[in-house]
Amino acid sequence: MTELPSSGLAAARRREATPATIEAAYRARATEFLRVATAIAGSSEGGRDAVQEALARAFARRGTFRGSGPVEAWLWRAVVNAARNVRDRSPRVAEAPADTGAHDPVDERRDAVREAVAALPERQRHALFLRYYADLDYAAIAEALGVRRGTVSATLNQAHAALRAALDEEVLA
Amino acid sequence: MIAGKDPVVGQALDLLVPDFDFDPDTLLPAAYARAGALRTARRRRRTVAVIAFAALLLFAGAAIAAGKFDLLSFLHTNDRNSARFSVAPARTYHGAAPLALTCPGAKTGVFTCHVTGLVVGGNRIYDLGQQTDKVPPLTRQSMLDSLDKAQAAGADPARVAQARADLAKVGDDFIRALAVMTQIETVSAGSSGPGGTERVPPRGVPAWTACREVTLATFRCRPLAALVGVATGTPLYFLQPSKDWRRVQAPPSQPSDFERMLEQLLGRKPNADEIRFFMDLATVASTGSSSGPTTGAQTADSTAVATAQLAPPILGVSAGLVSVTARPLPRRLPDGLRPGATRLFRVVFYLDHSNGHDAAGNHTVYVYVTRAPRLGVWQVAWVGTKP
Repeated sequence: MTELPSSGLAAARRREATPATIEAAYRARATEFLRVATAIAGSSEGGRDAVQEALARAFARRGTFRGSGPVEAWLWRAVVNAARNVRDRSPRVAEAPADTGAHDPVDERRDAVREAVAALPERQRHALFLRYYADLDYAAIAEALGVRRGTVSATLNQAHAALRAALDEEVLA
Repeated sequence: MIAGKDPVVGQALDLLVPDFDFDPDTLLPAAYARAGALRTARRRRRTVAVIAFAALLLFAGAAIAAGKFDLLSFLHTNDRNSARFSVAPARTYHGAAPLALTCPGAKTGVFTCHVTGLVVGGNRIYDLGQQTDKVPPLTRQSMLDSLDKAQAAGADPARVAQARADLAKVGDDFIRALAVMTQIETVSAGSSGPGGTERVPPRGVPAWTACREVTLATFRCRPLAALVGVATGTPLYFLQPSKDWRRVQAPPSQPSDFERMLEQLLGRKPNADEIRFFMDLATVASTGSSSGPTTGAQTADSTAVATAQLAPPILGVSAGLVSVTARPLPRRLPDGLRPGATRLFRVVFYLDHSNGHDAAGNHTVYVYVTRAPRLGVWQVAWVGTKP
Protein backbone atom coordinates (compact mmCIF):
# COMPACT_ATOMS: atom_id res chain seq x y z
CA MET A 1 0.00 0.00 0.00
CA THR A 2 1.01 3.60 -0.44
CA GLU A 3 3.14 4.95 2.39
CA LEU A 4 1.06 7.12 4.69
CA PRO A 5 2.25 9.92 6.92
CA SER A 6 2.71 8.36 10.34
CA SER A 7 -0.01 10.43 12.01
CA GLY A 8 -2.41 9.83 9.12
CA LEU A 9 -1.69 6.13 9.16
CA ALA A 10 -2.40 5.91 12.86
CA ALA A 11 -5.61 7.82 12.47
CA ALA A 12 -6.70 5.81 9.48
CA ARG A 13 -6.20 2.58 11.37
CA ARG A 14 -7.97 3.69 14.51
CA ARG A 15 -11.39 2.20 15.08
CA GLU A 16 -12.89 5.45 16.17
CA ALA A 17 -14.83 7.80 13.89
CA THR A 18 -14.31 11.35 15.05
CA PRO A 19 -14.06 14.35 12.74
CA ALA A 20 -10.31 14.29 13.35
CA THR A 21 -9.80 10.62 12.47
CA ILE A 22 -12.10 10.88 9.44
CA GLU A 23 -10.26 13.95 8.19
CA ALA A 24 -6.88 12.31 8.80
CA ALA A 25 -7.94 9.18 6.92
CA TYR A 26 -9.15 11.32 4.05
CA ARG A 27 -5.99 13.44 3.94
CA ALA A 28 -3.77 10.37 3.98
CA ARG A 29 -5.42 8.87 0.88
CA ALA A 30 -7.09 11.86 -0.76
CA THR A 31 -5.57 11.35 -4.19
CA GLU A 32 -6.45 7.66 -4.22
CA PHE A 33 -10.02 8.38 -3.09
CA LEU A 34 -10.42 10.86 -5.92
CA ARG A 35 -8.83 8.57 -8.50
CA VAL A 36 -11.12 5.64 -7.65
CA ALA A 37 -14.18 7.88 -7.45
CA THR A 38 -13.32 9.42 -10.83
CA ALA A 39 -13.01 5.97 -12.38
CA ILE A 40 -16.35 4.80 -10.99
CA ALA A 41 -18.26 8.04 -11.58
CA GLY A 42 -16.90 8.35 -15.10
CA SER A 43 -15.64 11.93 -14.89
CA SER A 44 -13.27 13.99 -12.77
CA GLU A 45 -16.10 16.32 -11.78
CA GLY A 46 -18.25 13.38 -10.73
CA GLY A 47 -15.33 11.97 -8.79
CA ARG A 48 -14.90 15.19 -6.84
CA ASP A 49 -18.63 15.32 -6.10
CA ALA A 50 -18.53 11.74 -4.91
CA VAL A 51 -15.57 12.19 -2.58
CA GLN A 52 -17.06 15.36 -1.14
CA GLU A 53 -20.41 13.66 -0.56
CA ALA A 54 -18.81 10.59 0.99
CA LEU A 55 -16.78 12.75 3.31
CA ALA A 56 -19.82 14.82 4.30
CA ARG A 57 -21.84 11.69 5.04
CA ALA A 58 -18.99 10.28 7.08
CA PHE A 59 -18.84 13.46 9.17
CA ALA A 60 -22.61 13.67 9.56
CA ARG A 61 -23.28 10.01 10.24
CA ARG A 62 -20.20 8.91 12.07
CA GLY A 63 -22.54 7.69 14.77
CA THR A 64 -23.31 4.77 12.45
CA PHE A 65 -19.66 3.66 12.44
CA ARG A 66 -19.54 0.49 14.50
CA GLY A 67 -15.78 0.09 14.82
CA SER A 68 -15.69 -3.30 13.13
CA GLY A 69 -12.76 -2.11 10.98
CA PRO A 70 -10.53 0.91 10.52
CA VAL A 71 -12.03 4.27 9.63
CA GLU A 72 -10.25 4.20 6.28
CA ALA A 73 -12.08 1.07 5.18
CA TRP A 74 -15.39 2.61 6.22
CA LEU A 75 -14.50 5.71 4.18
CA TRP A 76 -13.62 3.60 1.15
CA ARG A 77 -17.03 2.03 1.25
CA ALA A 78 -18.64 5.47 1.46
CA VAL A 79 -16.61 6.70 -1.51
CA VAL A 80 -17.49 3.70 -3.66
CA ASN A 81 -21.19 4.07 -2.84
CA ALA A 82 -21.17 7.82 -3.44
CA ALA A 83 -19.36 7.44 -6.76
CA ARG A 84 -21.82 4.77 -7.82
CA ASN A 85 -24.70 7.13 -6.97
CA VAL A 86 -23.09 9.96 -8.94
CA ARG A 87 -22.64 7.67 -11.93
CA ASP A 88 -26.25 6.44 -11.71
CA ARG A 89 -27.59 9.99 -11.56
CA SER A 90 -25.50 11.21 -14.48
CA PRO A 91 -27.17 11.36 -17.88
CA ARG A 92 -26.01 8.51 -20.02
CA VAL A 93 -24.65 10.35 -23.04
CA ALA A 94 -22.01 8.75 -25.16
CA GLU A 95 -18.88 10.85 -25.06
CA ALA A 96 -17.79 10.74 -28.66
CA PRO A 97 -15.12 13.31 -29.49
CA ALA A 98 -15.53 15.06 -32.78
CA ASP A 99 -13.75 13.23 -35.58
CA THR A 100 -10.98 15.56 -36.74
CA GLY A 101 -9.56 13.09 -39.19
CA ALA A 102 -6.36 12.72 -37.20
CA HIS A 103 -6.02 9.54 -35.10
CA ASP A 104 -3.89 9.78 -31.95
CA PRO A 105 -2.70 6.26 -31.08
CA VAL A 106 -2.86 7.04 -27.35
CA ASP A 107 -6.50 8.12 -27.68
CA GLU A 108 -7.29 4.99 -29.63
CA ARG A 109 -5.68 2.87 -26.94
CA ARG A 110 -7.56 4.73 -24.23
CA ASP A 111 -10.89 4.22 -26.01
CA ALA A 112 -10.20 0.54 -26.36
CA VAL A 113 -9.38 0.22 -22.66
CA ARG A 114 -12.46 2.20 -21.71
CA GLU A 115 -14.68 -0.09 -23.76
CA ALA A 116 -13.07 -3.19 -22.32
CA VAL A 117 -13.40 -1.99 -18.75
CA ALA A 118 -16.98 -0.86 -19.29
CA ALA A 119 -17.84 -4.36 -20.49
CA LEU A 120 -16.75 -5.90 -17.17
CA PRO A 121 -19.30 -6.64 -14.44
CA GLU A 122 -19.50 -3.84 -11.86
CA ARG A 123 -17.83 -5.80 -9.07
CA GLN A 124 -14.87 -6.64 -11.28
CA ARG A 125 -14.53 -3.02 -12.35
CA HIS A 126 -14.59 -1.71 -8.80
CA ALA A 127 -12.16 -4.35 -7.58
CA LEU A 128 -9.76 -3.38 -10.35
CA PHE A 129 -10.02 0.32 -9.54
CA LEU A 130 -9.41 -0.25 -5.84
CA ARG A 131 -6.51 -2.57 -6.50
CA TYR A 132 -4.73 -0.48 -9.11
CA TYR A 133 -5.66 3.11 -8.34
CA ALA A 134 -5.64 2.86 -4.55
CA ASP A 135 -3.24 -0.05 -4.12
CA LEU A 136 -5.59 -1.64 -1.57
CA ASP A 137 -4.92 -5.22 -0.49
CA TYR A 138 -7.55 -7.94 -0.78
CA ALA A 139 -8.84 -7.47 2.75
CA ALA A 140 -9.38 -3.74 2.27
CA ILE A 141 -11.06 -4.28 -1.09
CA ALA A 142 -13.33 -6.88 0.49
CA GLU A 143 -14.28 -4.39 3.22
CA ALA A 144 -14.91 -1.59 0.72
CA LEU A 145 -17.07 -3.74 -1.55
CA GLY A 146 -18.80 -5.65 1.22
CA VAL A 147 -17.68 -9.07 -0.02
CA ARG A 148 -15.52 -11.90 1.32
CA ARG A 149 -11.78 -11.75 0.88
CA GLY A 150 -11.78 -14.93 -1.22
CA THR A 151 -14.31 -13.34 -3.53
CA VAL A 152 -11.92 -10.45 -4.20
CA SER A 153 -9.19 -12.80 -5.33
CA ALA A 154 -11.51 -14.63 -7.70
CA THR A 155 -13.04 -11.40 -8.95
CA LEU A 156 -9.65 -9.89 -9.77
CA ASN A 157 -8.53 -13.05 -11.57
CA GLN A 158 -11.68 -12.97 -13.69
CA ALA A 159 -11.20 -9.26 -14.40
CA HIS A 160 -7.60 -9.77 -15.50
CA ALA A 161 -8.56 -12.61 -17.80
CA ALA A 162 -11.46 -10.70 -19.27
CA LEU A 163 -9.37 -7.62 -19.93
CA ARG A 164 -6.60 -9.64 -21.47
CA ALA A 165 -9.06 -11.32 -23.76
CA ALA A 166 -10.78 -8.09 -24.72
CA LEU A 167 -7.66 -6.17 -25.58
CA ASP A 168 -5.14 -7.38 -28.05
CA GLU A 169 -1.45 -7.24 -27.26
CA GLU A 170 -0.99 -4.17 -29.42
CA VAL A 171 -3.38 -2.10 -27.34
CA LEU A 172 -2.00 -3.31 -24.04
CA ALA A 173 1.59 -2.83 -25.00
CA MET B 1 2.30 -10.81 -12.45
CA ILE B 2 3.28 -9.73 -8.93
CA ALA B 3 1.24 -9.74 -5.73
CA GLY B 4 -2.14 -9.94 -7.47
CA LYS B 5 -1.32 -7.21 -9.97
CA ASP B 6 -0.95 -7.50 -13.70
CA PRO B 7 1.48 -4.82 -14.91
CA VAL B 8 -0.08 -4.79 -18.36
CA VAL B 9 -3.54 -4.21 -16.91
CA GLY B 10 -2.10 -1.54 -14.63
CA GLN B 11 -0.57 0.23 -17.62
CA ALA B 12 -3.89 0.13 -19.44
CA LEU B 13 -5.84 1.47 -16.47
CA ASP B 14 -3.37 4.35 -16.13
CA LEU B 15 -4.61 5.51 -19.50
CA LEU B 16 -8.14 5.91 -18.11
CA VAL B 17 -7.37 7.86 -14.95
CA PRO B 18 -3.74 8.98 -14.86
CA ASP B 19 -2.11 9.61 -11.52
CA PHE B 20 -2.31 13.27 -10.46
CA ASP B 21 -1.59 15.63 -7.60
CA PHE B 22 -4.56 16.72 -5.55
CA ASP B 23 -4.89 19.14 -2.65
CA PRO B 24 -7.19 17.57 -0.01
CA ASP B 25 -8.11 21.02 1.32
CA THR B 26 -10.06 21.83 -1.84
CA LEU B 27 -12.92 19.51 -0.84
CA LEU B 28 -12.89 19.73 2.96
CA PRO B 29 -14.74 23.04 3.55
CA ALA B 30 -17.61 22.03 1.28
CA ALA B 31 -17.74 18.58 2.89
CA TYR B 32 -18.02 20.06 6.37
CA ALA B 33 -20.74 22.45 5.20
CA ARG B 34 -22.64 19.62 3.53
CA ALA B 35 -22.30 17.53 6.69
CA GLY B 36 -24.03 20.28 8.62
CA ALA B 37 -26.90 20.25 6.15
CA LEU B 38 -27.19 16.47 6.39
CA ARG B 39 -27.32 16.62 10.18
CA THR B 40 -30.00 19.29 10.03
CA ALA B 41 -32.08 17.17 7.67
CA ARG B 42 -31.70 14.21 10.00
CA ARG B 43 -32.80 16.22 12.98
CA ARG B 44 -35.81 17.44 11.05
CA ARG B 45 -36.85 13.88 10.29
CA ARG B 46 -36.56 13.01 13.94
CA THR B 47 -38.67 16.07 14.71
CA VAL B 48 -36.44 16.94 17.56
CA ALA B 49 -37.82 19.98 19.26
CA VAL B 50 -35.74 22.00 21.63
CA ILE B 51 -38.04 23.98 23.85
CA ALA B 52 -36.92 26.86 25.99
CA PHE B 53 -39.21 28.48 28.49
CA ALA B 54 -38.43 31.84 30.05
CA ALA B 55 -40.44 34.72 28.78
CA LEU B 56 -38.07 37.41 29.95
CA LEU B 57 -34.92 35.91 28.53
CA LEU B 58 -34.72 39.34 26.99
CA PHE B 59 -32.62 40.16 30.00
CA ALA B 60 -31.49 36.65 30.79
CA GLY B 61 -30.32 35.24 34.02
CA ALA B 62 -28.67 35.63 37.39
CA ALA B 63 -27.71 33.06 39.98
CA ILE B 64 -30.56 31.07 41.38
CA ALA B 65 -31.69 32.51 44.65
CA ALA B 66 -30.76 29.42 46.55
CA GLY B 67 -33.20 28.11 49.11
CA LYS B 68 -35.88 30.65 48.36
CA PHE B 69 -37.55 28.68 45.59
CA ASP B 70 -38.41 25.02 45.40
CA LEU B 71 -36.78 24.51 42.05
CA LEU B 72 -37.17 20.76 41.89
CA SER B 73 -40.92 20.92 42.15
CA PHE B 74 -41.32 22.28 38.69
CA LEU B 75 -38.32 20.66 37.04
CA HIS B 76 -40.26 17.41 37.03
CA THR B 77 -42.46 16.82 33.97
CA ASN B 78 -44.79 14.05 32.86
CA ASP B 79 -43.35 13.92 29.38
CA ARG B 80 -40.93 10.99 29.12
CA ASN B 81 -39.29 12.47 25.99
CA SER B 82 -38.63 15.84 27.58
CA ALA B 83 -36.27 17.08 30.22
CA ARG B 84 -36.51 20.30 32.21
CA PHE B 85 -33.38 21.45 33.96
CA SER B 86 -31.65 24.53 35.32
CA VAL B 87 -28.43 26.10 34.05
CA ALA B 88 -25.68 27.36 36.35
CA PRO B 89 -24.45 30.57 34.66
CA ALA B 90 -21.28 30.71 36.75
CA ARG B 91 -20.04 27.30 35.64
CA THR B 92 -18.71 26.50 32.17
CA TYR B 93 -17.94 23.16 30.59
CA HIS B 94 -14.80 23.17 28.44
CA GLY B 95 -14.62 19.49 27.42
CA ALA B 96 -15.40 17.73 24.17
CA ALA B 97 -18.89 17.21 22.77
CA PRO B 98 -18.87 14.22 20.40
CA LEU B 99 -21.78 13.85 18.00
CA ALA B 100 -22.86 10.50 19.41
CA LEU B 101 -22.27 8.38 22.51
CA THR B 102 -22.95 4.73 23.24
CA CYS B 103 -24.26 4.17 26.75
CA PRO B 104 -24.98 0.47 27.32
CA GLY B 105 -25.69 1.07 30.99
CA ALA B 106 -27.95 4.10 30.63
CA LYS B 107 -30.19 4.34 33.67
CA THR B 108 -31.11 6.64 36.50
CA GLY B 109 -28.07 8.01 38.33
CA VAL B 110 -24.60 8.35 36.86
CA PHE B 111 -23.52 6.04 34.03
CA THR B 112 -20.56 5.76 31.66
CA CYS B 113 -20.71 6.29 27.92
CA HIS B 114 -18.21 5.85 25.11
CA VAL B 115 -17.70 7.76 21.92
CA THR B 116 -19.72 5.79 19.39
CA GLY B 117 -17.54 3.43 17.41
CA LEU B 118 -15.48 2.16 20.32
CA VAL B 119 -18.17 -0.10 21.66
CA VAL B 120 -19.84 -2.58 19.37
CA GLY B 121 -23.47 -3.54 19.87
CA GLY B 122 -26.02 -2.28 22.35
CA ASN B 123 -28.97 -0.10 21.56
CA ARG B 124 -28.42 2.86 23.84
CA ILE B 125 -26.96 5.35 21.40
CA TYR B 126 -27.36 9.04 22.21
CA ASP B 127 -27.07 11.83 19.63
CA LEU B 128 -25.87 15.31 20.47
CA GLY B 129 -28.90 17.60 20.70
CA GLN B 130 -27.40 20.87 21.79
CA GLN B 131 -25.02 22.47 24.27
CA THR B 132 -26.44 24.67 26.98
CA ASP B 133 -26.34 28.36 26.07
CA LYS B 134 -24.68 31.03 28.15
CA VAL B 135 -27.13 32.84 30.43
CA PRO B 136 -26.26 36.51 31.04
CA PRO B 137 -27.01 37.94 34.50
CA LEU B 138 -30.41 39.44 35.36
CA THR B 139 -30.71 42.05 38.07
CA ARG B 140 -32.58 45.30 38.42
CA GLN B 141 -29.44 47.14 37.28
CA SER B 142 -28.93 44.85 34.29
CA MET B 143 -32.52 45.57 33.25
CA LEU B 144 -31.88 49.31 33.49
CA ASP B 145 -28.70 48.88 31.44
CA SER B 146 -30.61 46.89 28.88
CA LEU B 147 -33.24 49.59 28.61
CA ASP B 148 -30.46 52.09 27.88
CA LYS B 149 -29.11 49.86 25.17
CA ALA B 150 -32.57 49.27 23.75
CA GLN B 151 -33.05 53.02 23.50
CA ALA B 152 -29.63 53.43 21.89
CA ALA B 153 -30.64 50.73 19.43
CA GLY B 154 -33.67 52.74 18.37
CA ALA B 155 -36.44 51.90 20.84
CA ASP B 156 -39.12 54.53 21.45
CA PRO B 157 -37.83 56.83 24.28
CA ALA B 158 -41.35 57.28 25.69
CA ARG B 159 -41.80 53.53 26.00
CA VAL B 160 -38.36 53.17 27.58
CA ALA B 161 -39.29 55.83 30.12
CA GLN B 162 -42.55 53.99 30.87
CA ALA B 163 -40.64 50.75 31.35
CA ARG B 164 -38.27 52.43 33.78
CA ALA B 165 -41.19 53.77 35.78
CA ASP B 166 -42.88 50.37 35.85
CA LEU B 167 -39.63 48.64 36.79
CA ALA B 168 -39.49 50.83 39.87
CA LYS B 169 -42.89 49.48 40.92
CA VAL B 170 -42.05 45.77 40.80
CA GLY B 171 -40.53 44.08 43.79
CA ASP B 172 -37.21 42.30 44.08
CA ASP B 173 -39.02 38.99 44.49
CA PHE B 174 -40.45 39.36 41.00
CA ILE B 175 -37.00 40.08 39.54
CA ARG B 176 -35.54 37.12 41.40
CA ALA B 177 -38.28 34.91 40.02
CA LEU B 178 -37.55 36.11 36.52
CA ALA B 179 -33.86 35.46 37.09
CA VAL B 180 -34.62 31.87 38.03
CA MET B 181 -36.91 31.51 35.04
CA THR B 182 -34.13 32.52 32.68
CA GLN B 183 -32.06 29.58 33.89
CA ILE B 184 -34.67 26.92 33.30
CA GLU B 185 -34.77 25.14 29.98
CA THR B 186 -36.82 22.31 28.60
CA VAL B 187 -35.65 20.10 25.76
CA SER B 188 -37.79 17.57 23.95
CA ALA B 189 -37.10 14.86 21.40
CA GLY B 190 -40.60 13.48 21.11
CA SER B 191 -42.48 12.95 17.90
CA SER B 192 -46.20 12.44 18.00
CA GLY B 193 -47.73 9.38 16.38
CA PRO B 194 -51.25 8.18 15.57
CA GLY B 195 -54.00 9.00 18.06
CA GLY B 196 -51.90 11.42 20.09
CA THR B 197 -49.37 8.76 21.05
CA GLU B 198 -45.62 8.87 21.18
CA ARG B 199 -42.83 6.35 21.56
CA VAL B 200 -40.88 6.44 24.81
CA PRO B 201 -37.78 4.63 26.05
CA PRO B 202 -38.06 1.80 28.58
CA ARG B 203 -38.76 2.92 32.13
CA GLY B 204 -35.57 4.01 33.89
CA VAL B 205 -33.71 4.81 30.66
CA PRO B 206 -33.38 8.57 30.25
CA ALA B 207 -34.39 10.16 26.95
CA TRP B 208 -31.94 12.99 27.58
CA THR B 209 -28.57 13.02 29.32
CA ALA B 210 -26.00 15.65 30.23
CA CYS B 211 -22.45 14.42 29.82
CA ARG B 212 -18.91 15.36 30.79
CA GLU B 213 -15.67 14.16 29.26
CA VAL B 214 -13.65 11.84 31.50
CA THR B 215 -11.07 10.60 29.01
CA LEU B 216 -10.71 11.10 25.28
CA ALA B 217 -13.24 8.37 24.57
CA THR B 218 -15.16 8.05 27.84
CA PHE B 219 -17.92 10.28 29.16
CA ARG B 220 -19.80 10.34 32.43
CA CYS B 221 -23.49 11.07 31.98
CA ARG B 222 -26.58 11.53 34.11
CA PRO B 223 -30.26 11.95 33.28
CA LEU B 224 -31.00 15.53 32.32
CA ALA B 225 -34.57 15.58 33.63
CA ALA B 226 -34.82 17.70 36.79
CA LEU B 227 -31.06 18.21 36.86
CA VAL B 228 -30.08 21.36 38.76
CA GLY B 229 -27.05 23.52 37.94
CA VAL B 230 -25.99 22.26 34.50
CA ALA B 231 -22.82 24.10 33.45
CA THR B 232 -22.94 26.41 30.44
CA GLY B 233 -21.72 24.59 27.32
CA THR B 234 -22.58 21.12 28.63
CA PRO B 235 -23.40 18.75 25.76
CA LEU B 236 -26.94 17.35 25.97
CA TYR B 237 -27.72 14.06 24.26
CA PHE B 238 -31.02 12.45 23.27
CA LEU B 239 -31.58 8.71 22.90
CA GLN B 240 -32.00 7.10 19.49
CA PRO B 241 -35.21 5.00 19.40
CA SER B 242 -34.71 1.24 19.51
CA LYS B 243 -36.87 -1.87 19.41
CA ASP B 244 -37.61 -1.83 23.12
CA TRP B 245 -39.31 1.56 23.03
CA ARG B 246 -43.04 1.52 23.78
CA ARG B 247 -45.87 3.59 22.40
CA VAL B 248 -47.83 5.49 25.03
CA GLN B 249 -50.38 8.30 25.13
CA ALA B 250 -48.53 11.60 24.79
CA PRO B 251 -49.06 14.02 27.69
CA PRO B 252 -51.11 17.10 26.83
CA SER B 253 -49.11 20.17 25.84
CA GLN B 254 -48.95 22.98 28.35
CA PRO B 255 -48.57 26.26 26.51
CA SER B 256 -49.08 28.21 29.71
CA ASP B 257 -46.33 26.40 31.57
CA PHE B 258 -44.50 29.68 31.98
CA GLU B 259 -47.39 31.13 33.92
CA ARG B 260 -47.53 28.12 36.23
CA MET B 261 -43.80 28.22 36.85
CA LEU B 262 -43.79 31.93 37.51
CA GLU B 263 -46.64 31.55 39.99
CA GLN B 264 -44.79 28.76 41.76
CA LEU B 265 -41.67 30.87 42.00
CA LEU B 266 -43.55 33.90 43.27
CA GLY B 267 -45.89 31.91 45.44
CA ARG B 268 -48.75 34.01 44.04
CA LYS B 269 -50.15 35.32 40.77
CA PRO B 270 -48.21 38.22 39.21
CA ASN B 271 -49.90 41.53 40.03
CA ALA B 272 -50.95 44.22 37.56
CA ASP B 273 -47.69 46.18 37.86
CA GLU B 274 -45.65 43.09 37.16
CA ILE B 275 -47.72 42.11 34.14
CA ARG B 276 -47.50 45.65 32.80
CA PHE B 277 -43.74 45.68 33.31
CA PHE B 278 -43.48 42.43 31.44
CA MET B 279 -45.39 43.93 28.53
CA ASP B 280 -43.24 47.07 28.72
CA LEU B 281 -40.17 45.00 28.15
CA ALA B 282 -41.64 43.29 25.15
CA THR B 283 -42.93 46.45 23.54
CA VAL B 284 -39.87 48.54 24.31
CA ALA B 285 -37.80 46.03 22.47
CA SER B 286 -40.07 45.74 19.48
CA THR B 287 -41.91 47.81 16.97
CA GLY B 288 -43.91 46.98 13.86
CA SER B 289 -46.65 44.42 13.34
CA SER B 290 -48.28 41.84 11.07
CA SER B 291 -47.04 38.73 9.37
CA GLY B 292 -44.17 38.85 6.99
CA PRO B 293 -40.91 40.75 7.19
CA THR B 294 -40.59 43.05 10.17
CA THR B 295 -38.40 46.06 10.71
CA GLY B 296 -36.72 47.55 13.70
CA ALA B 297 -37.74 44.85 16.17
CA GLN B 298 -34.58 44.31 18.07
CA THR B 299 -33.42 43.75 21.60
CA ALA B 300 -30.42 44.80 23.57
CA ASP B 301 -28.39 42.12 25.37
CA SER B 302 -30.86 39.62 23.98
CA THR B 303 -30.85 35.97 23.16
CA ALA B 304 -32.43 34.48 20.06
CA VAL B 305 -35.07 32.73 22.16
CA ALA B 306 -36.03 35.87 24.00
CA THR B 307 -36.29 37.80 20.78
CA ALA B 308 -38.59 35.20 19.29
CA GLN B 309 -40.85 35.65 22.28
CA LEU B 310 -41.49 39.18 21.13
CA ALA B 311 -43.60 37.85 18.29
CA PRO B 312 -46.99 38.30 20.03
CA PRO B 313 -46.51 42.01 20.79
CA ILE B 314 -45.12 42.48 17.30
CA LEU B 315 -48.37 41.03 16.04
CA GLY B 316 -50.19 43.50 18.25
CA VAL B 317 -51.61 41.09 20.82
CA SER B 318 -51.13 41.17 24.55
CA ALA B 319 -50.05 37.64 25.21
CA GLY B 320 -47.27 37.53 27.71
CA LEU B 321 -47.33 33.83 28.29
CA VAL B 322 -45.54 31.94 25.55
CA SER B 323 -43.53 28.84 24.85
CA VAL B 324 -40.80 28.88 22.27
CA THR B 325 -39.55 25.87 20.34
CA ALA B 326 -36.37 26.03 18.30
CA ARG B 327 -36.85 24.51 14.87
CA PRO B 328 -34.30 23.47 12.24
CA LEU B 329 -33.94 25.98 9.44
CA PRO B 330 -35.70 24.97 6.24
CA ARG B 331 -33.71 24.56 3.06
CA ARG B 332 -35.05 27.87 1.71
CA LEU B 333 -35.05 30.92 3.94
CA PRO B 334 -37.12 34.05 3.47
CA ASP B 335 -35.39 36.58 1.25
CA GLY B 336 -32.45 38.36 2.80
CA LEU B 337 -31.82 35.93 5.66
CA ARG B 338 -28.45 34.24 6.01
CA PRO B 339 -28.32 30.68 7.42
CA GLY B 340 -25.42 31.34 9.80
CA ALA B 341 -27.08 34.28 11.56
CA THR B 342 -30.69 33.11 11.51
CA ARG B 343 -32.73 30.98 13.89
CA LEU B 344 -36.26 29.71 13.48
CA PHE B 345 -38.66 29.29 16.40
CA ARG B 346 -42.21 28.09 16.79
CA VAL B 347 -43.92 30.40 19.27
CA VAL B 348 -47.11 29.31 20.99
CA PHE B 349 -49.08 31.94 22.88
CA TYR B 350 -52.42 32.03 24.56
CA LEU B 351 -55.18 34.57 24.22
CA ASP B 352 -58.12 34.59 26.59
CA HIS B 353 -61.57 36.16 26.38
CA SER B 354 -60.85 38.58 29.19
CA ASN B 355 -58.58 40.54 26.88
CA GLY B 356 -61.46 40.97 24.45
CA HIS B 357 -60.00 38.68 21.82
CA ASP B 358 -62.37 36.86 19.51
CA ALA B 359 -59.73 34.25 18.78
CA ALA B 360 -59.26 33.03 22.34
CA GLY B 361 -57.11 29.94 22.79
CA ASN B 362 -53.69 28.74 21.70
CA HIS B 363 -52.02 30.27 18.68
CA THR B 364 -48.86 29.27 16.88
CA VAL B 365 -46.59 31.43 14.78
CA TYR B 366 -43.19 30.81 13.25
CA VAL B 367 -40.56 33.45 13.89
CA TYR B 368 -37.22 33.98 12.16
CA VAL B 369 -34.73 35.98 14.20
CA THR B 370 -31.41 37.25 12.89
CA ARG B 371 -28.36 38.71 14.51
CA ALA B 372 -27.76 42.26 13.29
CA PRO B 373 -24.19 42.36 11.97
CA ARG B 374 -23.27 45.81 13.25
CA LEU B 375 -25.06 45.89 16.58
CA GLY B 376 -24.64 42.23 17.36
CA VAL B 377 -28.18 42.05 18.76
CA TRP B 378 -30.96 39.68 17.75
CA GLN B 379 -33.95 41.04 15.90
CA VAL B 380 -37.19 39.60 14.67
CA ALA B 381 -36.92 39.39 10.90
CA TRP B 382 -40.02 37.53 9.82
CA VAL B 383 -43.23 36.26 11.43
CA GLY B 384 -45.73 33.94 9.77
CA THR B 385 -48.14 31.14 10.37
CA LYS B 386 -45.94 28.69 8.46
CA PRO B 387 -42.14 28.23 8.59
